[in-house]
Amino acid sequence: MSLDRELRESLLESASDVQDRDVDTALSFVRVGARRRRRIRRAMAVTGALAVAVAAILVGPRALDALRGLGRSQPAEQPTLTELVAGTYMVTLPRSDPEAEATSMTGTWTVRLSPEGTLEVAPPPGFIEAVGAAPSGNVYTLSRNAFRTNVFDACADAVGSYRWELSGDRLTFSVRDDACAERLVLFGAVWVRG
Amino acid sequence: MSLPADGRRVRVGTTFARAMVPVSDAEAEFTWFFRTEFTAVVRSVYLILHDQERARDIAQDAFIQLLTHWSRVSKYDRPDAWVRRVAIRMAMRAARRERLRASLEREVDPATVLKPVDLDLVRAVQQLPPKQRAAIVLFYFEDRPISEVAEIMSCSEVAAKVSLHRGRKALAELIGSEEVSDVP
Repeated sequence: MSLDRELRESLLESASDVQDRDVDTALSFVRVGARRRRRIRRAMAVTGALAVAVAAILVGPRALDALRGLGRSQPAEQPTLTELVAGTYMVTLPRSDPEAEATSMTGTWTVRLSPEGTLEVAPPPGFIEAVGAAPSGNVYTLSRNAFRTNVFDACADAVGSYRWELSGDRLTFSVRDDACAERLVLFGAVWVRG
Repeated sequence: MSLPADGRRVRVGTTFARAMVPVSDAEAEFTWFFRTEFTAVVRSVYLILHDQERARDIAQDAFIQLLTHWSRVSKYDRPDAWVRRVAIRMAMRAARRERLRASLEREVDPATVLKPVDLDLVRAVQQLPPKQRAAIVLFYFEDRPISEVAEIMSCSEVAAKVSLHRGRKALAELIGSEEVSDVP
């Protein structure tokens, strides 16, 4: 007998050990098993949906805020030094100050420091009469240790450098390096934010 | 599915099943399909595992999966191939576990190793690797062409042929002495 034929006959004979019985019982088991499986799948689906809903509730608003914030500028960071000191200051130079008197600078000066680094000066009338015009086209730079500027036309070629300190609305300077008489007078006084 | 007196299994096509049962009555269709196919699946799994209870359990699990997906699978051309694929895979996994367990036990007690001369053909099939067993059962017992054997085993036709060839070769070696003894 060939192996193929023997295989077929042996397998068929062996398979007949399995009787065609209890099929309805097995069908009942299958139905119960399938119901249980469906319930488990449904429960898992509901659990998954709940998890998504909870995640949406908890994380959603933050995610939305983050998405909305994408197109906007970032929240204000710590102001830069220039932004910190920017503003309009009044500087009063009394007649009792001999250097001010000598440079015709007595009176009240208005100094505007812009956040962009420009420095505008409105001198008292006496200074304009003496010099002919108000200083113009002046700039400043600021670091933690130095306030540097070219203010005053007569001294525009040389930059003066001063230490600075802002306390409340009062800005004060002490000279680091400057040969300009006018600047030394102006920066020697207390600047009060107006 | 019935087992005629001559022992050959009669396969009933699913198309016929659909013609006999109203398509809308999925429950009735499944019941008919189950009664037609369940025992046949149990037999195929049994020939792989040689354990009736486990074969019934595995066949039931496969049909549970089928019933869970019945609305979809019932539309396939061959739902019987689908449920066989599930059952055969589960049987192959179980057979692999069994072989692993058996090999571990043999390491402990070498005396339990079966010698080829002790085997009849069906028991020899149990000594084959699970993949070769499945190929032998599907080809020789279920009379399936190689293309269907490959489909049910989820492998290529070449791989199915290789499994079948190796299985036959191993069986020939295992029962070689018995073949000689059968010669008048």
